Amino acid sequence: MRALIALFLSIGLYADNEIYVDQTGDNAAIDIEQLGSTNLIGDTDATAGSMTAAVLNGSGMTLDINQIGSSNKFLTDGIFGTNFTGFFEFDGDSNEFEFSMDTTGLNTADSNDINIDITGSLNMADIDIAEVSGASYLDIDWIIDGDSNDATVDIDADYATMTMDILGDTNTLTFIQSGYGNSSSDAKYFNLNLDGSNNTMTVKQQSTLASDWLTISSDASNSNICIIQNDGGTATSC
Amino acid sequence: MMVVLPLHADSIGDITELRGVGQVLRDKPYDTSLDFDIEQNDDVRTANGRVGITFLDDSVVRLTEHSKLVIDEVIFDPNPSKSKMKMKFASGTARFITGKIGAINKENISISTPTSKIGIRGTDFTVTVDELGRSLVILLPDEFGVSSGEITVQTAMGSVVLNQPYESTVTSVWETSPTKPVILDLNLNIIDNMLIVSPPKEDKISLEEQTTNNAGGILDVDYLEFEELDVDYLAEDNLAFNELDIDYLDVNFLEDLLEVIEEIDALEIRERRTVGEQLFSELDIKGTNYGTDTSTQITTFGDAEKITLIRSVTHSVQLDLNGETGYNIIIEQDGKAYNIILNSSSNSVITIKQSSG
Repeated sequence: MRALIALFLSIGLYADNEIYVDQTGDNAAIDIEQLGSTNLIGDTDATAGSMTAAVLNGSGMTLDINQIGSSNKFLTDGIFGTNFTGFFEFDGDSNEFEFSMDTTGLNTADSNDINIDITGSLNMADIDIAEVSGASYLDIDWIIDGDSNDATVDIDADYATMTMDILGDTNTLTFIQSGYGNSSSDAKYFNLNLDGSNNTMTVKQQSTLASDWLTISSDASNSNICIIQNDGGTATSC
Repeated sequence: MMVVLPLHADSIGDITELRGVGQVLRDKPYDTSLDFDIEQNDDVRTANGRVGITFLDDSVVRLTEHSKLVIDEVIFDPNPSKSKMKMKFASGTARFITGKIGAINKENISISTPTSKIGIRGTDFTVTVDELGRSLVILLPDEFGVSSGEITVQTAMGSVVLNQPYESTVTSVWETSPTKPVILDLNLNIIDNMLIVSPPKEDKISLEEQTTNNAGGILDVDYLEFEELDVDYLAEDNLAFNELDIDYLDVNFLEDLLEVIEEIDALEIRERRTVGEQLFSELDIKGTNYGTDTSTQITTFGDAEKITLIRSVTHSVQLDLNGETGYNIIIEQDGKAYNIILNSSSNSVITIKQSSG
């Protein structure tokens, strides 16, 4: 049975489908499911209708977010800690998902397992994890099933694996992966499965000393894919 | 003779089988001896000797001649998530018989060779590493002849699962996939004979029984008529060429298997290449050749359903593309550009820039 342990957890229900969360402490298990449209999850400092990012800190955290409906928004900033497990499901259109973890590089973001499932159209997802190789052993599995979705990923890790399925048309992905490898065994793997038409993908892998591995499986048509593997970051566009 | 004992830290096991000479490198080299304590970070090496190590969880590692095993970290904790087993097997041949390994979460178990990582779920297996770092992994059966579990052999380019008795794979370099698993025509006696450190007691009993039986037959002989009683049977080496004395240990069997498996692979590769070239010739692809194109440094293969292009320089890109769709692929590196056109179309554009600067 999953234990819900929160040293400091406040959840307030304000306007329709708005949940505000602040969490500090280890081994928290947070499971939130919102049904309906215009669901919002953010910080306790937010005011109704104007969302700011939730602060979630602590190692060993399990975060399970399900937003079912349209115009959902989940914003979180400042997550840090090791052994984070996240499940994020967004089912509907015009969802907005922002996830930031240790973007200052001052904390740790090691051994994290993140799973994202977006079904619908016109969704926006922005993931920013770590700085200065702050994330080790990062594993991200991501499915986007729908049209006109826009995803931005920025990862700074010394060992990371990301698998992403994009199924739909006119989707846009910007993926930047950097980090400093300490040995030849440090590597970053990105597996992209692409199916649809008119997709625009930009993939930048800029790992110093570590090896970058990219596999793209494509059934897509009329798509534009730009791949830059450049340690120094001197090549910026195709 | 004075035996120098090492400074003691926490012991994680000890040497329980020994034949010949070996060394444990720690703060300084120590000659191996029975009951010698093994500790974290020990570097165990054999020369013309064999060493068996039993760990605290009853896991056993047997090393044959010219082997090298580095014990990075072994922690036994009542909490499986806190237990760890991390070793590097650098050369030689070793048999790993896992003990209460279910007590360790599988993600915390790591045995690596120069060209692979081996994931374990309660198994009995051998690993052979040659001077080039090539690694042969063979899964062994349990006492009932069925699979002793499952192991995963991984490289940077993929992994294979071994779950059948005597199923094996070879890894040549970290940057290529393990070979397709094949089941070897072996039996456990051969493996045991190759990896025995101390001769088993059963063999001695067998010899004694044979000697006793021979003596029983001799009772039927009329010794008064012959002078056989004067013959000292004990002094005579009547068993010099018994089958039990065949020295399987001299046979570099596992190392030879590496070559056999690679030959099998080479045959399969040749056959696949012939078929592949035929399929490839029917495709509409311009700018690169089938197989590895030395000018573009792209390896290309596939059929009408899927075409794969791989370019691995400092970093690696693999494209698995729908064989019926048009692609314009532009590859740039160090001022040189290559253009590959699939299905006479620029329906989709893929631009790849690779550089280390």
